[in-house]
Amino acid sequence: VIGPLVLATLLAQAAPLDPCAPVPPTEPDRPGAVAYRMVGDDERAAGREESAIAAYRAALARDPALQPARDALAALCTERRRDAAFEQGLAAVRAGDCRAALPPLDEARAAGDRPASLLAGMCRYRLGDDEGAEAALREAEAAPATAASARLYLGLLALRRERPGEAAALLEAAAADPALKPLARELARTARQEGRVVLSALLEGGWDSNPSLTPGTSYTPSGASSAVGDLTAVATVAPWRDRGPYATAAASAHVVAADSSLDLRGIGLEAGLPIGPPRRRLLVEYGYDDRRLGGARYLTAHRLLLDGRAALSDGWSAGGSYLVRREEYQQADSAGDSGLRHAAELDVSRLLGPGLLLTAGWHGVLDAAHDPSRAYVDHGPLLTAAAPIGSQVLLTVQAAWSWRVYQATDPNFDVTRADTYLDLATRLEVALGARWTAYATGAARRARSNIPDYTSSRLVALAGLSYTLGIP
Amino acid sequence: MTATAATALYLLWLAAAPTAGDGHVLEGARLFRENRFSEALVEFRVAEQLGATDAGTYAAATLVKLDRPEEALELFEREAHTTPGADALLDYYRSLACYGARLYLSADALLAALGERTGPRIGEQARQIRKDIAAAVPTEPPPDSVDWYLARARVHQANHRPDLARAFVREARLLGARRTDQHGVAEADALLEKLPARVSSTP
Repeated sequence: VIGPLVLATLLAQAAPLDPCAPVPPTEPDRPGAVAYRMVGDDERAAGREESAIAAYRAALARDPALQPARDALAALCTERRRDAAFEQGLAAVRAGDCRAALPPLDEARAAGDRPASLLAGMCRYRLGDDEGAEAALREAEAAPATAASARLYLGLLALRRERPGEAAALLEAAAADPALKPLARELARTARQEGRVVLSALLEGGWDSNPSLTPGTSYTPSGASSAVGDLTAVATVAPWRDRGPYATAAASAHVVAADSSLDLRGIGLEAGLPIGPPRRRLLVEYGYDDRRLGGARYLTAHRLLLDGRAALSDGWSAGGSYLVRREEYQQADSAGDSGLRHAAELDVSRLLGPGLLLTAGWHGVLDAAHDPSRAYVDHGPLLTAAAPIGSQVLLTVQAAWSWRVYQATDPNFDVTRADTYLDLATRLEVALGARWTAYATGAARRARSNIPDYTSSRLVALAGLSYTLGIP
Repeated sequence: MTATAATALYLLWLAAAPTAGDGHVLEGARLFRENRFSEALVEFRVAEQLGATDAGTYAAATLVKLDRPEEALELFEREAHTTPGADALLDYYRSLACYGARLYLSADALLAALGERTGPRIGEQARQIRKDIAAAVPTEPPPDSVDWYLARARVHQANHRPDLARAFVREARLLGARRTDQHGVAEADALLEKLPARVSSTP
């Protein structure tokens, strides 16, 4: 440890030489001046700026008319001023003060410093000066060392200007830099999937261990399992993108191979309005659902959703939602389930490290079914962790617990039903390209009830593929 | 220490025969004493061009001050008349150049040879650096270390810096010789044989 300390002490330097300061003349000595100039050229060629400055200054002191030394010193003066301006701008950027950074960065830009162009473009982007940002970033794009970062910010700029096609091309170009690849690819993918019109389709297939909820504690009751499949298509129209009202139409089909009476088909229509900036946003949404079970009309429902989320400091955010749904069950044996259903959830999230998002919350349901024995209160905690694995895979794991108490005695069993539910779910998403995503999901539920007929267990494993197309 | 070192460099210069560049050496020594090392280097370089005796060695000592150890080492190697042992102060600077270029065993050998020929302050610093080197370099260095120095030597050779290549080969040989299997020693000897002989910059 001492060795480097000794070296550091030995290497203590005097103040740097100023290539811009006037050179006081000494006794004229033209041959000597040429010798100094040659040393200066050697040192400058080796990248030794300080000794080159000393040599050129010594040359000019002996022969003020020595033009090559004068030119070289002038160039070093310009470089030194440019570098000083860049350092001043960089320090301001690091201190989070983009406004203070811009004057020195622009001075360095004017002297041809392309890293300064990149920082100036980044600062102007942050300050909302889109035109100024583009001009600076185009300068930075022209230099190989700063091209990739410049394209990343030009892509972000294009996204803000609602030019997703241009943004995607720029971001894909930025992804050529391995350091920027994960972020740039993800943003490019988002750009390809955004637009005023978004169309998506999801096809899933897999296995359900107990689609009919056969009573018992086994996760795989004998003879109960079935292959299952899902097809979902969604179209969203958002003329103002994420800043104004939107409408969505969705159609879905769930097929249970072993029992077609459990096949579920549905359509859903939604219209919503986001209010506020993305960091503090409230969403108001109306929706209508129509579902058919086994080919017969099963449920119609009108719903209203209020959903809000606010970003807090240090990666924390808080969210809350409230959904009220007026449910009308269409079949005689389930008509008692009709009524108003209220659901609410509160949660806090924290972004940890490189992309790990942890969420903890509490959910609650008040189901005011017409038949009091079908009405219940349900609530409990939920925990979610989502983390990227590499640049193309996202893993999400969720656990939830619920206590459910029904409001009146069940006439069939002469007891008031009380249940608990444990749900575990995991989901793996793999980005396959700009518009395709592969999914694998696994879910387990254990329902326990004081009425044995309602105790059941179930496992569902699905794999799927989705396609999303954004039309600008 | 800086003033002492500069004075010593100056006295060394006085002892040498005067040449056309001696005025620049004198000016370089003055600037060196004032810690103006970039300017001192320029004076020593100009003195070299004008044929001043030992200007290259003083330039090498100044390069050590400027944290340019490989260039310093190259210059020390090139100045054939300043073989180790001739002057304790220059040997000390040479050892620092070796240390800065990671030639730890070469640095240690130079520092060990210094003995009490320098003042007590430099002597104490030399002892501290040797302790560091003893702690950092294993008794039996791994073969990768030997190979790294040999590889660096080949790079310097390919870049037409034979003096620097020679210094790295010698370090590789010292490291290899510490191993029971003498890993890399034969290769180092072969490389040393192929490297051109030292060429002195002095007339």
